[in-house]
Amino acid sequence: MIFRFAIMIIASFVGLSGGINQEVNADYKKLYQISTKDFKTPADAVELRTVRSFPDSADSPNGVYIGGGQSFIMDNSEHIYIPDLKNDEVLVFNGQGGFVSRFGRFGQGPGEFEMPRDIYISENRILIREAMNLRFQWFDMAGKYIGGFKAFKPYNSFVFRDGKIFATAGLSQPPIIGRDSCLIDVMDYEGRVISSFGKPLDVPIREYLELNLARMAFDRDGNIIVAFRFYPIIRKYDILGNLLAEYLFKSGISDKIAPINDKMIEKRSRGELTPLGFVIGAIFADTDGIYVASSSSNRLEILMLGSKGEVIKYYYKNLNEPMGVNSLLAKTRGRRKEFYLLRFCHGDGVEVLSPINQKEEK
Amino acid sequence: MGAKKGHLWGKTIILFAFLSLASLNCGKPDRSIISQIPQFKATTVKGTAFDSRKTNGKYSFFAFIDPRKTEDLDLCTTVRNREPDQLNIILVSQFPNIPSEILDAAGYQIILDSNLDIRRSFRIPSSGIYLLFDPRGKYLGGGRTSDGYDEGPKALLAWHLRGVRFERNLFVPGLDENISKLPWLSQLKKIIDSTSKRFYLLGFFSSICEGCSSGSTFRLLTKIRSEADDMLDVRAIISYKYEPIDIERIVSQLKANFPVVLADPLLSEKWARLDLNFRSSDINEIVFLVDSLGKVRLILDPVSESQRDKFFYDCLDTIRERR
Repeated sequence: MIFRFAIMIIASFVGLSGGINQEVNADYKKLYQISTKDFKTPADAVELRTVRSFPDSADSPNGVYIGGGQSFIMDNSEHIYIPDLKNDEVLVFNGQGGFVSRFGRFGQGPGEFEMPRDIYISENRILIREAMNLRFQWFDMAGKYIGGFKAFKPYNSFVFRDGKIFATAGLSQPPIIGRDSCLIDVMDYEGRVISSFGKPLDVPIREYLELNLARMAFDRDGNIIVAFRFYPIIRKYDILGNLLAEYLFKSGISDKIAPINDKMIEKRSRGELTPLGFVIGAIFADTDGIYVASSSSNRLEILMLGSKGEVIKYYYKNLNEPMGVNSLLAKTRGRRKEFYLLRFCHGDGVEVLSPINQKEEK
Repeated sequence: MGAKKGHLWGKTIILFAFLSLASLNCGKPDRSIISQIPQFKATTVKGTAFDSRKTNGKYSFFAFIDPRKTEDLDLCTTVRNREPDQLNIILVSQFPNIPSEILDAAGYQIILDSNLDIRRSFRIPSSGIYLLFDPRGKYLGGGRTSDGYDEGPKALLAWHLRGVRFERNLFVPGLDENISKLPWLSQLKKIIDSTSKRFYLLGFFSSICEGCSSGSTFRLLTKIRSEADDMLDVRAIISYKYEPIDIERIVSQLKANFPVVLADPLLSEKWARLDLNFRSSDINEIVFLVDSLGKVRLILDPVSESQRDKFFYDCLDTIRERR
């Protein structure tokens, strides 16, 4: 199972970076390729440009580089925390991309990591999930270890506040007699599950865990947003687990990749080991709305969604080289948005994007 | 993952690569020359008779030591401390000045080889070399004591000792035997004595991860518990490596419908000893069904999902006395 999961994760970058092998990869890359002509750019679309990216090559000789990043987060002082799953540490940068500090090292002990993958900050504390040690660890804002707990399920994205951790995946694979699987577990801060909610996507049983891979965020009302990575589906739950809405959103990338994914999943049911493309790279929510970032070989799209899932604003950047997106943050600078993307493919790092034309943003 | 399967694969590959390198002729003994333990008889420094052909079913670890060299002595001490009763540890020394901490310690057979006859019979060019033989006396590999324990014997012993098929009766009795005979399972005997079920389904887990094989076996217990009626008691016993609060986490995260308990000190000690000699996956997911007298009725061999399915039906048939 873990092996299948690993293959899936690797294979899912096809069309962007990785693949099963060179030859197969090339075929799939072609399949997932989207021509710039395929994108219907709305008239009021806002084009983005990269204003800075970090860490850069000047940082590398000082040992400041990201081997592999799956998620990142910004604190109130605009410090950005990036767990590096390849170097088993957390790097901290300021909003301008200057290196601030690092904490953690490889190991199984307190404060050590083996593939730190997901991170969230709230209530002046940091929670990090490791993929290999199967645990969550708490740190203070200075990176000092303050506790941790084991996870016996392969949890993925999570958020927390008010004594509750909401974690996705870790699905109990059916059939468990008399029990329905849930999408989200609600845990206390010591890892005890208090309740579970959310119906997983109706996908083949063997693909249950993989295809329900999702990203999470709190929206401005404190509701939980869940975005499925292989489907153009976003759900909104209240913190009691009631489903408030389910959106099927449309974008140039989702329109192209989602149908290919469906075909690939069908092939999987016949026993073929096929890759999948991410329909959703990352989500973020702030007081203005929900942002969904996706990327293909030649375009990055960031959609700002309204309360009903409608696209309020279409941000984009045409890419010269493929870029994958694993995590997204947005900051409001005056009247304009600044987006922070945790990029993979052609170098992991943070890319900061801003509208090319300030007037368009207004 | 449990969930560490990918990681274990990596380690296995590294170990394999290491052993492949170790098997090359890098100044180490030539396998073709000493394919077997040479036959010889000797008297140990404590005056007991030693016959190289009598291995008593154990692996033999020969260390050709120079008692003046601390690396030789340190390695032997570590092997003795870390690799327990599956090994005959034979120290062959040219010189008689063996330190008392080695001389007086149990677990060694020390042979003085003043004229180097034994060393020659092994075709060993110098001291500072160790060799491992299987219980039939077949040469498995060797190295230099200067490699240190972790880089040398540990990998070699792990490869060969742990590569041996894990015999479940090292942990639980075989079919139709009674668990009450085994002191390390007294915890289970107490459970049986304190309840009045007709059958007990017991699962041992040294690690649990839902996405791993252990997760499937854990779900099997859940499934059987759901299907079986009141005549069955199901328990998962988790290894000494866990803390009491992990029980709450396991039960809540995996939605267990049966009690999960920590191994008691006696069981933990046994478990830890087995952990030294076998892969952790060998000591994981050990599930068996016992009746109210403590007699083992079924043992799960969790190699595949179909084995689990078979066990599921066998278990229900046994409980419902259709077998």
